[in-house]
Amino acid sequence: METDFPLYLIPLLPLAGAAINLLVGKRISRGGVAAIACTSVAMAAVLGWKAAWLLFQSEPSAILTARFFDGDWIHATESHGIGSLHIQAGLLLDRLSAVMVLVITTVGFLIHLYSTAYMEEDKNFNRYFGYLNLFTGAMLILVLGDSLPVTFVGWEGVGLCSYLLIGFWFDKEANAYAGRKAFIVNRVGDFGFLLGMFLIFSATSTLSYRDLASQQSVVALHHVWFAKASIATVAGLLLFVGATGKSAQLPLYVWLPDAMAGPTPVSALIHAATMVTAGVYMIARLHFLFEIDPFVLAVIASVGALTALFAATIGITQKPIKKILAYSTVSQLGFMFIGVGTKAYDAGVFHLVTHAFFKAGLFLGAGSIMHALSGEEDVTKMGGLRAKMPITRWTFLVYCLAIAGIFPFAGFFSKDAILAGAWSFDVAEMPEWPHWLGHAIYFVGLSAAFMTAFYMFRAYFLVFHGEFRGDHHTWDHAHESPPAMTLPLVVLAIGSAALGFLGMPEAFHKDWNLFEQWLVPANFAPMVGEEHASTEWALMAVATVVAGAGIFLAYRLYYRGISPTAVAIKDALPRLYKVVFNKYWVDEIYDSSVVRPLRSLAFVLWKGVDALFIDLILVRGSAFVVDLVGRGVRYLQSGDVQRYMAAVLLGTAAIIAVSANWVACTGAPFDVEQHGADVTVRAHGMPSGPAARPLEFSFDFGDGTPPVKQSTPTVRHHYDVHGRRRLTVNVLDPRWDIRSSDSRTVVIP
Amino acid sequence: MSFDSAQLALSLPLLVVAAGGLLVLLLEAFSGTPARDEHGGRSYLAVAALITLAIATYAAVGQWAEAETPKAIYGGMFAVDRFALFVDVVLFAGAALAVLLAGGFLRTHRFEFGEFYALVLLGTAGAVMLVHANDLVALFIGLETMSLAVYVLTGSWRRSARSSEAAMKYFLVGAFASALLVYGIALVYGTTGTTNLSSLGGLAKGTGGAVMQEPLFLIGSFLIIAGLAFKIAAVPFHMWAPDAYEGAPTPVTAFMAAAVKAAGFATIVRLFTVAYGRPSLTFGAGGWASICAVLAILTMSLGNLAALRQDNVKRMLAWSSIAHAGYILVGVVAMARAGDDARGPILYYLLAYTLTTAGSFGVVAWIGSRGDERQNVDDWAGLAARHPAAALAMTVLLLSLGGFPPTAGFFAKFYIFRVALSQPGLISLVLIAIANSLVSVFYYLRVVTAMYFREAHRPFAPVRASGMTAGLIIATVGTLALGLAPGWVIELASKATLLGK
Amino acid sequence: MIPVDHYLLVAGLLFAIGVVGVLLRRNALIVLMSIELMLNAANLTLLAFGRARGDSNFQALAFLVVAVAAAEAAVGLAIVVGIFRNRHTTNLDELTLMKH
Repeated sequence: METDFPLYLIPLLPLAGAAINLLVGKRISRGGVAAIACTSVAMAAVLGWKAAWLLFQSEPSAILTARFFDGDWIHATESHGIGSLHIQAGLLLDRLSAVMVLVITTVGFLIHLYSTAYMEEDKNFNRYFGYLNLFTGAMLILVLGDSLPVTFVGWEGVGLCSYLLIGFWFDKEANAYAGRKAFIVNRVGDFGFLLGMFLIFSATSTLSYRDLASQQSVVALHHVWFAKASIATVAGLLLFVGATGKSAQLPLYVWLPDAMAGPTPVSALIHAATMVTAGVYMIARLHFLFEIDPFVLAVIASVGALTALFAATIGITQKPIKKILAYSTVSQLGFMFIGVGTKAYDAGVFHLVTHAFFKAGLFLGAGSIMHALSGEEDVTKMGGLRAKMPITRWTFLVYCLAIAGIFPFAGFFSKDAILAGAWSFDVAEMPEWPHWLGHAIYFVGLSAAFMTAFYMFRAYFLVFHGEFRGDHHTWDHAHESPPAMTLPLVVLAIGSAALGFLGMPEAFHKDWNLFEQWLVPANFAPMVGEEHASTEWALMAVATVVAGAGIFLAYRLYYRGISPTAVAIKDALPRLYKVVFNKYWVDEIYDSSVVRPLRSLAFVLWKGVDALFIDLILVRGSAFVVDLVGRGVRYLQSGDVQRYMAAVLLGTAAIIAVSANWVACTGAPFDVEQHGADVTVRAHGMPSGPAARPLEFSFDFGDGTPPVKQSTPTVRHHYDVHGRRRLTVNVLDPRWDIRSSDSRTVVIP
Repeated sequence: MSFDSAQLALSLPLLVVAAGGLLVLLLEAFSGTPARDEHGGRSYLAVAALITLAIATYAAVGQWAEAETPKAIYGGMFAVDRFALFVDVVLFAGAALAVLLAGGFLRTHRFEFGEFYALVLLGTAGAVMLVHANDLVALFIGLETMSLAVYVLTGSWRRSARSSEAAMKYFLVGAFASALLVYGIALVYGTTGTTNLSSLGGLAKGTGGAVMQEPLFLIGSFLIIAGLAFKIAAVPFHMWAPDAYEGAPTPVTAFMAAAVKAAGFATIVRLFTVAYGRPSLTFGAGGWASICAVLAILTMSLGNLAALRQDNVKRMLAWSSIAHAGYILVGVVAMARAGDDARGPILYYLLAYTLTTAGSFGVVAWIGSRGDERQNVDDWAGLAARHPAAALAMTVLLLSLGGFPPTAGFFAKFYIFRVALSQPGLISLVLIAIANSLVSVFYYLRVVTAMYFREAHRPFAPVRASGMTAGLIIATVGTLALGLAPGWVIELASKATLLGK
Repeated sequence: MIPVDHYLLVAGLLFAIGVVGVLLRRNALIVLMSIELMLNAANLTLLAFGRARGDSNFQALAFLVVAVAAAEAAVGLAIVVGIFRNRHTTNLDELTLMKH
């Protein structure tokens, strides 16, 4: 194995591009800026392919490693109870991270290329490309890191870039609220990640992935932490909280739709194709940790399924095209979590790859549409664009077919693999979970898939078919986008159409699932309980029918425009008897049986999660606390120096009072040792020593005998009575002249 | 007590800085008037101060090997150990940054006078004495020497009403806290008969330690703790800090936030470790560990929450430096059980914090000009487009303050939290600290987004001075370097020996 | 001989009077004097203990405190003068340019 492969160049090249563009970009021509940005990512992509080729030629477990510099990056010597810590700024390329690197650099390059045309007129051209490069570099560090801290550098880096790029379009107040929401939600996620990391380290004394995967570490992670939960359980749940933050799962999904305020290519790269998949990648990377307690996996799969369904219901009701795509992203991420949660890691990662292509394509297509319509986002104000924008239209159709899961487009294979994994999910190890959990997740996923097909084609038909519903001025201006924009669309469309064949199901042809063969042997344990070919065929058939039904429904309702009922009445008067009735029928049924319940479900969830949890507790709650403290500070920090001195004095007095009182009061608490009617009372006592003034104890046994007064803390007493008696110890501390007491009840037999 | 050359040699860092301060004072006096011209007539004084600090640093580093075995000189009053030498270097770095920043700032604000540099050196001398002090008397003298110099520095911009007001507030609260401290020393001395920290520690170990539970001794100790808590601006002893930091000339603010605070923390560490090692003084609700834990929670939380609402960048950084004192206090709490293991992280934090804070106040000093201080966050809008390097430096420094990897600030917190987590019962404290550091990112990023995403509404007229540029580069590069290769520093810090332990 | 407790009590009272003066008087000069009173209370405590213990080191310490108090007074007066030049007042209530 070639060990001197310059792996570190893969993230460093985009970072160098970022440095050049951000620092001296103003002095470079636009062409130069674009060239630097695109070339650096292209070179990283070439290196990534070269590295992947090296892996391909070697045995499955081969890896490439590199370090940014020699010696330890984080280093700490051993101390009380915790082992020494040596972490290098190391990179690790195995087959899993290779997949991620290829997706990031390839899709990333296409988006860079697209941006050169899309952002043409922006006056902050260099800054935009600087951030885009910075983001790519950080994301590459995230996936290439060979330990949790290195990954965390990338994790924080991409979060920062995301925040900065959302801010790119933020004007002062309008979106400040959304920014705050994104910030708070991501902080909650990071909190989970950090705590999980600390916890893992405290148990295993290592944070590097390869050491963590060792038998010794896995055993250490099994240790019970508190209650019945092992360290792996708690750490796994904490890391999952981190994943829900970054990958927009319930209940922390709310920031992602708001993040669409940024430029469209940014949405494509960060908020659809790459960054949001970090959580999925992290779980696949640490799968051995999550597998220790199947409970954690079940939680992951369930949250994923709920998110997939929930976001899909919202997707149906959205009008702005970017919002539809945003909710669809949340929903598809839910699918990926179903995959990794049901141990179908290869399926989850496979969906991540295909999704990166078709979702990036969808966003870029949406960008192309909005570009043509001078920024119009509302799909109800579009229509008929197929005549004006043929390339955008055909590629968009391919993406829609892919995301809907129609054979032979990519989404079909990956979604099928996930659903098959869910169907055969084995919950035998978890008696507390119902045995039909896998099936339930499957059906929830299936419903989400139906809705996905429906709302994607709703958008497609509304945009490209029917009559244009905006003003004619906009229509006259509408045009196909320049080649720099359509070329990435075409490439992504080819990917969306063809990539699926890398992951052919077993049922099609034995041993043709190249993706599984690439990933599974070295990284994951093979799936247990593979279904029979017949079951697999059945699952595929069901999925296809369901997706077809969704498309058909969308076709019936939206093919000719927004108001199918009205259009139908006008068009089909002669055949009123049959068609209108049917249309009416479909529409009514759809409305009362699908839309209304879904809308109310979505409303309840939205109220519950968004309005109550996120909005009220997190955003408003924190604003309230900040405001409260602000008022307090405003009152106390009045500028009057004498209040400051009073605070010093009060602080000192409080320390003295509390401490003195405590010192005096520690004597009274006592332990009781009881043998029948004989009790021995031991007060905690203090102080002792020649110079100390002893405490004065008074023991009242509650049986009518006079209290025993002495200066030693231990006393024996024999009760002559029966029943419950109140035992009281009074203590006088003569040093402070503070009295304290403690009492409890004893039962004399 | 005798003064032989060996003792003088061992106290060389202190002597160099003190002598340098007096020399700069004389240079100023004998340089003739008028020495101030448009092009930095006083920069030779700054150079003299820098040379002094360099020599002192050299002297301190030269003693490192020898100080592996701690020594007490001048009748046990003055400790020479690696802990003190490490803090010395941190102090010299902070002072050097303040001197570098001051040159351009004083000139553009037209109050460049030579005493400024002399006072920085004398204040540093006081701080050095403070961190070496192994006796409450030496501690008091060092503290006062440092404080008096800094009071004057705070008010040194005599034409500014804010500078005078800041000096007034700082002085009054400081003098008040000093009075509490002296009274505390008197009570401790009276009850135990000694002011030597090692003797107090010895007393605590022996049977005579019972006297340490006497009310007068405890009250005295708490008064000393209050006096030091004032210096590190722990809540509720912090209220002077935002005002004093805001009003002081910005290079002085950098010096206060960095060097003065570092010296205060070093003293606290020495005092608690050496004199108050007795378990009954350490643990339980009345011990210093619990007091520090409460102070840490209050300090972190209030500092961050108040910083959230500040629109003035300088004042925001002032509140943020209060919050950072809270994080260091978490390390002090951990010291109660972890002992020697917690000292390394605290030292690392002090170094990282000194560079980062001095640097970030440095950018605040750089951006303004006379009559246009540009301290409001709106005034920073669009800085990245006009001055990308400065914006980048500020971003790195703010990210370090916010604890982003791979900067010094991240590892500073990482090491502190790690050692605290290894102690039983401190997990909730660490949780609060982590939550706090996550919240803090919000207000740091506010400045970053202003610099990068908003348009400038009027042109910038920053200070142009090579010293200031050098200072900012050193602080920023140092912050990054400490983050990229924290290993060797923490290695050094963890080898820091402490006298009397 | 007067027992040491009496001295301590007087010193404590002196200290308390100083504290009250610091907190309640509005004139910066009076506040400065009150702080001096607190330092003197500390000195009295030191000397009382010194006499009770028969230890002359206490007196040295008391002299140091006196010296420091003098330096503090000098700096304090300079600051009061500085503030008077800028603001034409030494009333602490009015020094609230910086707050919150």
